[in-house]
Amino acid sequence: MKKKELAVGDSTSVEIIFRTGHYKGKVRKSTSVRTNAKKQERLQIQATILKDADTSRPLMLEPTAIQLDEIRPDNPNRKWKFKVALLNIGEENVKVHMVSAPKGLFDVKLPGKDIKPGKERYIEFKFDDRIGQELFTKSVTFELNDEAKTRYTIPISKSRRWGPTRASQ
Amino acid sequence: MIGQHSRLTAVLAISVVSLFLTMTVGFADEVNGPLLVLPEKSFDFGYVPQNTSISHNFVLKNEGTDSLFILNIKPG
Repeated sequence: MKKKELAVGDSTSVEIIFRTGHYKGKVRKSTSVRTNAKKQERLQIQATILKDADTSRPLMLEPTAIQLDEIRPDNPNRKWKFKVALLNIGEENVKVHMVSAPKGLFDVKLPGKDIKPGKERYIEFKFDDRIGQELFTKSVTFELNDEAKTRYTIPISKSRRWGPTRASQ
Repeated sequence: MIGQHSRLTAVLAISVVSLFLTMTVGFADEVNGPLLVLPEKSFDFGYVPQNTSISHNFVLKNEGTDSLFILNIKPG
């Protein structure tokens, strides 16, 4: 939370982080927001937690999460990309659109065209040298244009700062 | 002439009553003090893998007439 006091007409944002752990299936969690206002409010999140990626029809994601500690590039001082494959294991064409993505840390490019059954397209994550010293837990949520409006969230985290590499010195 | 006068009086009376009702409802809706408004109260992540962490930003607005203090935000 950026601010704890809001003047009249002011706004702020609060980041809710949820650890999926060993949960499985549909999970709902709520958070109470206590203020000096008469009416108190609650925030709610929900997710369908999967053990196996192949149950996430109609798309199968590979990888399902991005752990940046494990995929450090040779030279993080240059711009670099990481791709997540979206394989359509359903029977209809699907198109994806962005629902929620963090701002400032990296850019995300979704495939612009339909993904046909049996075909694969990619989500591109573009990083630059700013990422090296950052530590974060973020995620990107996108939605399909299918009847169910199926959503997927890709977690992206980085828990260690990168020191200089031989390539960057 | 008298009929026209009566009609005018009736229209005026209805207008006064309408204005009174509008003001009453308006005052009832008005909030004194801070008012927390959440443009988005819930978020669906959809499919998510196990053993990972996901996040979402919610916006909190003060649409009241006095400063809003966020005392705590906790699960449950």
